Amino acid sequence: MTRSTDPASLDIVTAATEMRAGSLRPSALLDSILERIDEVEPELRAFVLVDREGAHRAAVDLDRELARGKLRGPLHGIPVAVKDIFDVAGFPTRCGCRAYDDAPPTSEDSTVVARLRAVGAIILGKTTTHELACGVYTPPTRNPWDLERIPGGSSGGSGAAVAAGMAMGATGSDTGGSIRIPAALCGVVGIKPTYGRVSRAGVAALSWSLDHAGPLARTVDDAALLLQAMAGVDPRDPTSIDRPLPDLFPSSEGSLQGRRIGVPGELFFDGITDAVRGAVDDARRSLSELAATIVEVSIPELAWTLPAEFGIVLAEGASYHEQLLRTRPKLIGENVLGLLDAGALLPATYYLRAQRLRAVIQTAVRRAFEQARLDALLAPTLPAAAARHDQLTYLFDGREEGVTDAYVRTTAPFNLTGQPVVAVPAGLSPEGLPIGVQFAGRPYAEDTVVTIARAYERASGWREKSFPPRGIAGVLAAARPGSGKTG
Amino acid sequence: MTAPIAPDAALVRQLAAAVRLVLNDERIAQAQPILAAQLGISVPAELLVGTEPATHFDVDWA
Repeated sequence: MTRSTDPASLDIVTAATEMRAGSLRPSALLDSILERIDEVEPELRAFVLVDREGAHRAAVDLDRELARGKLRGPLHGIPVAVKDIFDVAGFPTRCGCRAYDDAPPTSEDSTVVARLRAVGAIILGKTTTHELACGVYTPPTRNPWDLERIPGGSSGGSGAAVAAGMAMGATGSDTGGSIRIPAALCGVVGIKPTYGRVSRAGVAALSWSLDHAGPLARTVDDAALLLQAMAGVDPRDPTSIDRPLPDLFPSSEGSLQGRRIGVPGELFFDGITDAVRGAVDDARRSLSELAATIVEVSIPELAWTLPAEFGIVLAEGASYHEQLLRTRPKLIGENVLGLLDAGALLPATYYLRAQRLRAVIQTAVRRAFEQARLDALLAPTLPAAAARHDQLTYLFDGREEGVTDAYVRTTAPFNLTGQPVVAVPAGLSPEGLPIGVQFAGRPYAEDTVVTIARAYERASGWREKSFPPRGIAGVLAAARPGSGKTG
Repeated sequence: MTAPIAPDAALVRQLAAAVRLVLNDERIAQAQPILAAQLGISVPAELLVGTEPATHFDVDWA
């Protein structure tokens, strides 16, 4: 079997098929990915570290296994990038913060990284994070669709790397949207699983009661494969749950007959661009054509999302970083330092009030699911496409809203509830920037949201149009004629 | 309603001293508006009835 497409442009499912067929070896795939990194990383700056040597060693071992007929599974030989808040043995975890510039190499992999390695994934290196995973800009990384725009955050390096084909998948963390925000802004898929589904052991915390680890990838199937490898109870993480992950690849699907999908109003549409509103309308039509029943729902309690989210993040973040705040505050950037200082001064009653608001939101969302017999909610992932690097606010219908508030407003509800969410690309804005929608399901029902997101992805056709991203298309075309084709 | 508080720089300095956090003027200037935003939120008391935090966040209604 031969292939006309550059391996770095394949998705994981296709690469796995080629590995099984013997037409692709892990080292050939890795070489192609490293070549892609050489070509576009100088423009994007999505990595803080590329471990060429370690990745080559792993690829050669996996080549040998394959030659002996041993295939560990669909992630055998798949190059994956890791957000620099996850421990990778032999390398420091710097969390995008100068305070950790002198951090020693960690001796042990985070559970997620260990699980990815065990199924044959090749750890490529570490991607940028907004400082301490607390922000949505992720400097100095640039958006592959428009280098003048942000990739989102805090898992911005992971989003940019995957979108540019510099990694076939990546890890991310999501406390108030940090997987889904870069997924939406970079035009890739992100899964925030149910709270506790993926171990946080060996992952720096921001806000432990809101932190979720999960994957970013180019397609829903790819992200689901990564989630399957990452998920599972872990004695090293007391918040992880002992509950089997449902089958994310059921044999019979396609139609969404019998599925009930709610579209909440209020918060999600109170400040939104016309392009995003149009994308949600298009998604509703697509889902209806797939035989799903669309139900309008009202959850006014979601108006308390930002006070609840920030009240919890500020206090827990200040607690987690208490020693750093006292001993080396000068090594924290002023914006994040302001947030953590505010959290350190927040009276206990305000933190508890935020947790009580969270309970109000959890109850209200649960009631909406039960009363309307919903399988999932459909909402815009974000109210707008990517901001410019120096942009501080959006203007929605004459009302100014901070970039961070605007992004977190539509993603944080599901951090507060802990529900599983899949964020998928849903088209382009008039400026040619990606916009996305998200599907949030019942707790532990990752299979339902993956099924709905997969059906939508196939029906929408955006998957085929998402590569190469506009901002690096010229670089790629010059370096590799014909590389714009997907697998 | 829970009463909003409007912390000025002096109050922020006092709060910081109370928790033995040494903040210079720059740090106070950064933290003050964020803290003010949090403390300035009023929540209807009746909304919070019955929401005393549990020791875990069990969202299992599937």
